[in-house]
Amino acid sequence: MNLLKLLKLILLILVINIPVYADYPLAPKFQLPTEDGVLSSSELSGKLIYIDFWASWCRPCKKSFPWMIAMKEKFKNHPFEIIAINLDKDKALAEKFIASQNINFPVAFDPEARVAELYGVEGMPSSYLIDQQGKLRIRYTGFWNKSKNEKEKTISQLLKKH
Amino acid sequence: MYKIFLLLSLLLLSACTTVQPWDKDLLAKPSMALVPNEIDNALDEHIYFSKEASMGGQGVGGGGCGCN
Repeated sequence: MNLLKLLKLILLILVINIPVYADYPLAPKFQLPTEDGVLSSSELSGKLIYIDFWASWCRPCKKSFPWMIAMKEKFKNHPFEIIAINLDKDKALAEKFIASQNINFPVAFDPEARVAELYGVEGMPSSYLIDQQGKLRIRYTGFWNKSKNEKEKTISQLLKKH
Repeated sequence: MYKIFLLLSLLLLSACTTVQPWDKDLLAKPSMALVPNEIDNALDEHIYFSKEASMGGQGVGGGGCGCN
């Protein structure tokens, strides 16, 4: 067998071994304190979850709250949950902002950013959509008004699939 | 001499680290802005322009919470 044939054979083996489809990774599990107690991600299995990492000093994070409140209201009759994970080192600063909003979803506190590290947060705010099978579907960094409709459409589509 | 300089440069690199997004709270404070006082800055720029007959060159892009 000459070199060219050998190379062709190796290439063919490599092509055959490429996975037919790429599956979504499982979202890391967490347990965090909230104002009322402890929130565990396993309690929310079977639902579509929108996780938002935010801090009171981050302006785009604060800007995203009215949209998240509206989304929770819009999909209140669906298996959809929003969890806002606060990364402020000083909890009082977060509480001051929370008090100024009519938040209709749980806010968890992660001052040491352990869960943020697990999720590989790269900017503030960072949001993740976790599907009903607990798989990490989409990740968003930052919050822009122009992407609001697209996000809403994605949530709606993922809710329809199940 | 060159090797010592290179070694020292490599040692200094160990001080470089990535600031995590959640650690940028101090950078996001208004007092950390490049121009903390707009009025004061406008006055300074006016004096600079009057003295030097040139202006600008002070702007820097980016900064803040690391989300843009």
